[in-house]
Amino acid sequence: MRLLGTRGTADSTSRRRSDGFDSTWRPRWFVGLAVATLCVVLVLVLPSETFAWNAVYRGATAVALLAFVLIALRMPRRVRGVWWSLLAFQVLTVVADTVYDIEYIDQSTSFPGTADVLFLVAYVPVLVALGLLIRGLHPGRDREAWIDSVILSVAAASIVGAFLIAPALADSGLTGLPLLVAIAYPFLDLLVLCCLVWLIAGGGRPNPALMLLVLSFALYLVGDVIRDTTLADGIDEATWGWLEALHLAGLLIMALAAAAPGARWVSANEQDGSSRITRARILAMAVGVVTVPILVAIRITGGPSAVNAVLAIAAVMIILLTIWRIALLVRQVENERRITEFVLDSTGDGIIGLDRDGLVAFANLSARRMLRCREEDLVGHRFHDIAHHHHTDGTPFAWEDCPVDALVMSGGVGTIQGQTYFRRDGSAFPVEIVVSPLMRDGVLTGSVTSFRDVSERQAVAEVQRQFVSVVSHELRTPLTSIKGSLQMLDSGLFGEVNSEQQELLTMAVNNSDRLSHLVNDILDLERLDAGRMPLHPQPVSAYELAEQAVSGITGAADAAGISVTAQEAPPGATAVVDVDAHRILQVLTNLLGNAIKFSERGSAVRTEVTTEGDMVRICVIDEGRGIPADQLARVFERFGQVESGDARRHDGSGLGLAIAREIAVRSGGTIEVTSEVGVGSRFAVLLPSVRAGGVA
Amino acid sequence: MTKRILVVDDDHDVRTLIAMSLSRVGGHDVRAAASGSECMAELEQWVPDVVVLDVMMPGMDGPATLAAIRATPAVAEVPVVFLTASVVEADMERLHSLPVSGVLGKPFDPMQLPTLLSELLGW
Repeated sequence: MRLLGTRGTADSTSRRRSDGFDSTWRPRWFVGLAVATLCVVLVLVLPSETFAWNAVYRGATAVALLAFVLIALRMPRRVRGVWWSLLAFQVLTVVADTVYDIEYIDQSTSFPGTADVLFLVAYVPVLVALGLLIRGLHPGRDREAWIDSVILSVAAASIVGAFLIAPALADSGLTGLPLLVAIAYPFLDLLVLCCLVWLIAGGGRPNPALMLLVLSFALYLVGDVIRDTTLADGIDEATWGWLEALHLAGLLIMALAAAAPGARWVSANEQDGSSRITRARILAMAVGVVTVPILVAIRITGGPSAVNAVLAIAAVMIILLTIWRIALLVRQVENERRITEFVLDSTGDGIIGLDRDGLVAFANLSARRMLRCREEDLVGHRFHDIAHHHHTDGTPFAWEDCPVDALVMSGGVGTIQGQTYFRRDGSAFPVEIVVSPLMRDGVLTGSVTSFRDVSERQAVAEVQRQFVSVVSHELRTPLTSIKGSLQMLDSGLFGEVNSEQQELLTMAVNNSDRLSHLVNDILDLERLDAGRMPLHPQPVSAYELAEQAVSGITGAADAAGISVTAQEAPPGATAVVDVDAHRILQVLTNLLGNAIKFSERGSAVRTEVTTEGDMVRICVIDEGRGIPADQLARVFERFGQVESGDARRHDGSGLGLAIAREIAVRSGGTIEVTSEVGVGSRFAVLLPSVRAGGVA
Repeated sequence: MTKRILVVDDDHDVRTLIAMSLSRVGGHDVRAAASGSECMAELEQWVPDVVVLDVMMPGMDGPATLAAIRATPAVAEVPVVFLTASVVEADMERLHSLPVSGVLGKPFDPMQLPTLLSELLGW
């Protein structure tokens, strides 16, 4: 029985999807398939009702049932109901089969007998299983799924019944209850089969277990159709052999289905598109709905009969169910339309649907309010002519030149800024426009264009700009006087000063420098935050950048007694980066300044350039005190100075590294630090490199 | 070579500092004005080799004074250098787009200012 087990192995888990769907076909499943095939063949070839035949038939049945029980016990809760119901079906059919054999031995066989009642009762748990499957695969919409399944199944059963079973039963002499029972077998098989096919046709990932269930019921259907069509002439031994083999095959395949990949997911609502109204489903419904009434019309011309009456009932049932289904569909569409309208009207952005000629197909409430238009003023008219007919400066704006409409017609996606829309009363407002293509079956039909009034945002940006402008003026103007005066005094231009005066002057110059850096850093950060520090990237050698930074800081390094060297470019080495050289120099200068500040006199600071894939790494390496591990993460934070422990306070705003990181990130790179206390630190700036032919 | 320079800045201290830097360090002949209108009045009597013009001033600001200079035939060709404390990119772009010889930032090193001015004007 373990051949059919579903317990996972290390190998199988490697092919399991993130949601748990296991698509692995295990070797022992194929062993089970081979044994099942052998048993069915033996049942076909062995003389019927001999000991060997009985041993194979009964043995295979018992083993399959036992395996099925063991598998069903291990099923997860979400699918347990489905498999237990199918197991109940199998148990009932085996019991019915046994009762039939007893009746046959007692020569008490009549049609329909006790066994037939049991066979028909066995379909009750199958219908329960189908219900669970439908509910699982169509959460919240199982009523619609049931109606669809019944329409399709009744239609299919009617067609098969009219063309295949009815002619056969016409000669059998069966009437009344026996006739109904004879029809019920294939009808129920078809109902189940159609339901399963219907579920598979709903899309989603292919489920082998569901497909095997379809095969199983297809075999039952074939068996029941053969039985019904041969009922009239009496069923011979060879036919019985086939019927028994088909019945056994149906059971074995259902047990194999329970062990197949996807068995644990047969009723799980998948997120990748199952349970949709697919084309296959619409086609099947259309065939059923159209064919059966035509069939009834044709047959009724041949005169009244029991079969025709059943077919007429089926046709009426299909028509009524179809009307009900259409009513549900209309209600559903109406509800969805209302929800869509509600969502569209609830959003603050203006949303308009445009066709490929730029004509408005729909406009939401916000769009109408912003443009002060009624729906009829917009729908069916070219949007550009209504709201986008002039440029910001008031000059006419031809539709042919409009970048929004160019994007709409090309099916592109994009955000367009700096545009102006005009209201119905002629007043203008600045907008930011987002264009998304509207595709139907892969064909571009237009676009959904949303727009936002950015008047307030622009006003806030202007206030911020003015604030920075005024603050920079008000802070830097007095600083200019203070710093400049001190520098002139310090220069000796107005005569020598004594040592005490010189000490005070140096102190004042240093602190005015510090204040100047702080003001510059705060203004830089404000501009970075507001996105008003545009970067102008150009290809530049990383080696040259490092050399320039080192050259610029040599004076400070000499004063501190620290040697600073830039790594020379090895022969043939190219490390060209695509950055704003001015800003990256600011970053490197900041890193070098820090390295000098935190290094002891006599130590060395150096730069190193390496290439890593599409990035270039420029390192500033010092032999300073290093940064404790628990403070490494803080160094790039604003005002995140490292606690020195020796009560020495170093000049600096605590903003330099925050600015450096911001510039590195905006340049498409990053900044990293590694450090060891007492050994030194290594700050690395990673920047996007330029390869031959363009940016990497 | 001694040049004639007119310094225009509404801030007394900065004006004094610039004048002192250009005269004492650069050795130039410097006059000062406290506003755009004072600048225009001074230009009626004295034509300098360059006007060092502050940008943000009450009344006639730097660009307005520049426009007035360019509109006065007698001094229309006099080079003008802006001096600004602004760090706003848009402001800088706007200033560079005007007919000036250069834009210098505040704070500046008064010991270097004459050299910077010479480099800008090709003296």
